[in-house]
Amino acid sequence: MTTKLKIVLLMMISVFCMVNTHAAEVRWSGFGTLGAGQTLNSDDARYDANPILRDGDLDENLTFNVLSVVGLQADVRISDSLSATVQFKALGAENWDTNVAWAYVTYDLTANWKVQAGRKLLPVYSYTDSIDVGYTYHWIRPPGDVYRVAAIGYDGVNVTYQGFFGDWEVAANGLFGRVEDDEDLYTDLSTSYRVWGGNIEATYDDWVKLRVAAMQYEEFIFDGELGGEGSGIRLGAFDPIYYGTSLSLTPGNWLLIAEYTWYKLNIDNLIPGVPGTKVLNDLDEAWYVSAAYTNGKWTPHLTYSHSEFTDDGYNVGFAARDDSTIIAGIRYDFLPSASLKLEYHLTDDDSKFNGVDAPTDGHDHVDVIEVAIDFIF
Amino acid sequence: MTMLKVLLTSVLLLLVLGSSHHSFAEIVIIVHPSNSAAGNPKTIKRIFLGKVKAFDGGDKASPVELPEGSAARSTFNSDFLGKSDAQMKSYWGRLVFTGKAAAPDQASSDEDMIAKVSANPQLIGYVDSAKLTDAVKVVHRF
Repeated sequence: MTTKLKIVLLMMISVFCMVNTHAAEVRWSGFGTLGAGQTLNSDDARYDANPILRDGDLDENLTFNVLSVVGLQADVRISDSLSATVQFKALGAENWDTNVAWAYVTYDLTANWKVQAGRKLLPVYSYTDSIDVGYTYHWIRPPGDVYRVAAIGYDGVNVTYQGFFGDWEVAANGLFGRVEDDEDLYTDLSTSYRVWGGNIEATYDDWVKLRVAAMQYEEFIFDGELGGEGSGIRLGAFDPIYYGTSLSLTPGNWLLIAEYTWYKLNIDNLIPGVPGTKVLNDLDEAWYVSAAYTNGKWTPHLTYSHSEFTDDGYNVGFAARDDSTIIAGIRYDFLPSASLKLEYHLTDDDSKFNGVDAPTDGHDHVDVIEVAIDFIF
Repeated sequence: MTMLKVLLTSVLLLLVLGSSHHSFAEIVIIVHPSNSAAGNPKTIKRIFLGKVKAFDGGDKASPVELPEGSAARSTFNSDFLGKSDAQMKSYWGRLVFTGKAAAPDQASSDEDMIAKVSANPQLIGYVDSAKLTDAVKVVHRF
């Protein structure tokens, strides 16, 4: 735990104590997913069921950890316009270590504007805000081909606007902060970087929703040497940029959604002092289309997702990723606050290395079955 | 034959009464008697969905719900907001766990709802019309 986080936690706890003595209202709510899945093909086929996690792979053994999470949230109303929120979260893939996923205060400036400060998740994709609350969407997890950019916590400030213009509802969010990551997903090195950006959602008449988001990450610096101390390889600073857009329609009992994302790493020299070194697969484009139909307690759904790295000619030793996945599933709301989900994934890996097929795990096709129970309270 | 007609008429009457009783389980949306701003169903809907935090006149508005499992709550969700209980749960989950809005306050019963709303001009709630008293003002019924 970083010192900064400790300070934030202490502040939150003192706010809680202060408020409790004044008998203010503390509201507890929670959520969870207990999921399991496995691949159905050959012995060593793997499937990245939860790419934003370090150990998000499923294999031929039925695995529970990758898809399971529980969370508990406390909301304290301090005054009419000020509130504090803390969310604790434990992920199966992180050995159920509990961490503070969110810790922030909210101040209502007006009925339309508010400002929040503290730790929040980066609202990268359409579903990343509530990505751990499986109950709020139809899949077990959103499509892994697309949901790959780390949607981790940042410490900072954001300002939101929500209001109506006739039948159009507009919600906008602008944020600025810093991310500190002890163990980067790809390099294992600790990183720290600034981030600023935001997203705008326009909803027409409650059934057409358009979302655009942009994030600029700055001075994405890795500490230490790649591959362990002594390797002598230090990475230069990245300035990645991300754009994403989604359109969702909810006519009657249907949900139709399409999301497109674009992520560019932007680095001149991967290894400073060694000219011409370039990062592999500099540009990542990914999208999906999904349809779900709710009939009473049952929601069958179908999704196609695709992810592709640009083959920029620097693919020394690595293939340019090219994955496509079909997800066919059904959600059954067996209680008003709990659902059972079953999914079948068919994924094709057409990754190429210098024009030759080179699937990431040596398998060009993997079938996966996943099942989960989501709850919320 | 006459007996049969009487019987058929009675059955039909019972069916009509029975079904009308069901669909006419009227819900009334209520506010504090001093509130003159809350009448627009569109605004009321937006308040209950956490999208708007003020009445049309600009005064602060907070929705109050009946407890989970209450029949009036299910009717209110489906007939007025157009969402099933599960869809509402999911809708609020997405707002609450992302810091976008706080979940509405809950009354423990129809009586508690009337007590809360009649004591605070900021609140807007709903009850089964059979439980209505003159301590509150009705702004919409369906």
